[in-house]
Amino acid sequence: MNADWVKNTLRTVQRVYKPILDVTSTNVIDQAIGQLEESHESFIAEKSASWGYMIFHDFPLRFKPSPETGYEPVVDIYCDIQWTERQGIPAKQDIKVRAWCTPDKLGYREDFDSLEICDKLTSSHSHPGRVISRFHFDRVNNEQGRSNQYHPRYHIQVGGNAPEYELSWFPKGFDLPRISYHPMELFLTCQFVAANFFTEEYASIREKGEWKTYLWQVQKTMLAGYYEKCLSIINSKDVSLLDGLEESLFDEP
Amino acid sequence: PISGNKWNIPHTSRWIRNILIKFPGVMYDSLYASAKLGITLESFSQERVMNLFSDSLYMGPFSSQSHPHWWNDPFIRKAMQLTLAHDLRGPIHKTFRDAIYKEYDIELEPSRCIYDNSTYANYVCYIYREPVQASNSLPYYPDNRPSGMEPARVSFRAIRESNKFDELLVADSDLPTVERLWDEA
Repeated sequence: MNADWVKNTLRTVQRVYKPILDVTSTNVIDQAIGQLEESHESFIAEKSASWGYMIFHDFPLRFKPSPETGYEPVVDIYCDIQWTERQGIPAKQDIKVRAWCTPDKLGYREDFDSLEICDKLTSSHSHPGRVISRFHFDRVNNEQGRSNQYHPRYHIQVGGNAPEYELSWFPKGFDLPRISYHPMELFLTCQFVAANFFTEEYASIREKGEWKTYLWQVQKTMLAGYYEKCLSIINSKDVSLLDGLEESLFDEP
Repeated sequence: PISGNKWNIPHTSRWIRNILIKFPGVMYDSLYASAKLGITLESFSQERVMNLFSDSLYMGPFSSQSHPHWWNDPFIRKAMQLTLAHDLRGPIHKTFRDAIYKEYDIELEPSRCIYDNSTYANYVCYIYREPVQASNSLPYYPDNRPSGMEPARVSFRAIRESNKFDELLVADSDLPTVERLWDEA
């Protein structure tokens, strides 16, 4: 997985997921690719320690309203994915997934939410409602230091530090538990969203040859090593799987 | 535009004029280019800004000095290069203006949404040909542009006020929004 290949996966996301992506997604991915190219050139010239791309919380990769559940949630993704080697698995994966709901669906609950929330939701339409579900895929970043809490190297967390405009009903700063999950990047995250929120469209997306080609390669690069590690932990019987995936033990043979 | 192994000249000419140049996506005209950067058309027309993007200027068949176009990918990349060089994180329509100020000490005017005058409007209203926010507009289907091109958008203002707006050219799923805007008007 090198820079050219990552760029091609972004273009594939742009093309293959187009039926379920909001029209703004074209520009979002164009900018991500621009960043990728620029940062990679800087990395090759040894002017920066990493290369990759960011999709920003205020300009996210947004999907069309989902037909699942009846609430028509709008899902979006923003992320920061960086590599510190010319190829391989990203050294940084910080991928946020949000599900928004409009006030007339689930975004405002008359029996629970204050009038202030109602005012904020109805006075502005800069955002597609209120965030009703929020989680992120993360890789432990050793540079930031860690508390004594359980930290699987690759994990998923619910909640987190949401920007104010999300009006998220998850309490800020409470982001436990960390649930072990395999490494993720944007292609796999889009698959995750499509499979959960666009069942019918996903059935046809996964038949596309172009999508399959990139999927197999992403899975091979990103997931094979992780699941081999899982299997070796299970077979070793030295530690439990949950403990063996913890950051401090992850690189143990 | 390709017949067998060869480019068909008339077809290629029509394709360049009627697709590549006509619709934003592969290339941008001045209005779309300025909106993508979150600045006004006048600010975009300043010499320093124009020079910055000279490498992405389209110089091929049917190019025009009076109606220039820029190739999308190198255009975006150049903008990214400047914002990243000044460690500005964010979408370029929100960071480019600051990047220019840091680089050249020039104040550019931010693009303003034709609906609510909010800044950094990075789309263009098909009817009024003015910048508009994505959240103050709807996808609009007035022509037969290929799906690979950037979709047109119609501003809430045009929906409310313009006789040129045709509700048959919005998606069915957006009709409730159109009706709400008409009711509010």
